Amino acid sequence: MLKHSTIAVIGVGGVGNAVLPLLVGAGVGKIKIVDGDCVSLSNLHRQTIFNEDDISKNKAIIAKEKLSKLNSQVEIVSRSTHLENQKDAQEFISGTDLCIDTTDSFLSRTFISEACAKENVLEIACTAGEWVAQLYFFDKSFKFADIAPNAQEKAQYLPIFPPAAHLSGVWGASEAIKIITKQREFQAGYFQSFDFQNNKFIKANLI
Amino acid sequence: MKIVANSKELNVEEQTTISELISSLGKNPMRCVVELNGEAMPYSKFANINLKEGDILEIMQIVAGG
Repeated sequence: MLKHSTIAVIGVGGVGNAVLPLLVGAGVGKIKIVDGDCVSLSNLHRQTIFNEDDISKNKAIIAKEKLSKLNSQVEIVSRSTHLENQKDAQEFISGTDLCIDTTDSFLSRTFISEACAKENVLEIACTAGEWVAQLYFFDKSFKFADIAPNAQEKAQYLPIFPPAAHLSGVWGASEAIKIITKQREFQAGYFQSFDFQNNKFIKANLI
Repeated sequence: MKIVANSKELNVEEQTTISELISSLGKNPMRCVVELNGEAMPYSKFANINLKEGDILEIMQIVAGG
């Protein structure tokens, strides 16, 4: 089932760096990745696909190069410019089985969620900020706007504890693999959170 | 009346809504998920709920970093 699936991963930052090797290693048939940013020195502590030789190079292109060596049987399609709006996101995710949003702003999360709803693509939103890792399931019945109304804020660059970014990504890969292989049912509104400051884990259905 | 928010005991006035409490703590209620007495809910559900004596809340800010 994995071999015949296509997953879009939007963002190749700290969370995307944790998601991608797990999906590629697991043998997802086709993975579409997109990120317009270039690698910087301050990324390396949590964006562990990259190293010092990659600084100033586009993240999506470098990630494709490296991940193709992890599993050459996976078709990886990379795009080196940001998704600009909902229409752009719709075109990118069209035809995929699942979208994993690992972007870094409320604005992008809003239009990606709207795009997934429009294209009827299931969405797993993986996110981190400071000490916290979070994961949300969205579809056309429950979107990001249902938890964060009128969210147009651009990226704020809050510090992120690197394990929080990775935990969120590991969750995203895990849930994506389970959903594709029918080990679990997609449940819109599902939410889980872990706070590394007090080690508190919460999972719930927000609908 | 007394309530507990994020493991901290607080005194709040009667008729205080969850949104008002969150705002008073310097956070935007529209960017939070709340667990009220063990039940998690988004803004649309908790916005107008009045707090009651002894309520236990976990206020989680929605993060959007990647």
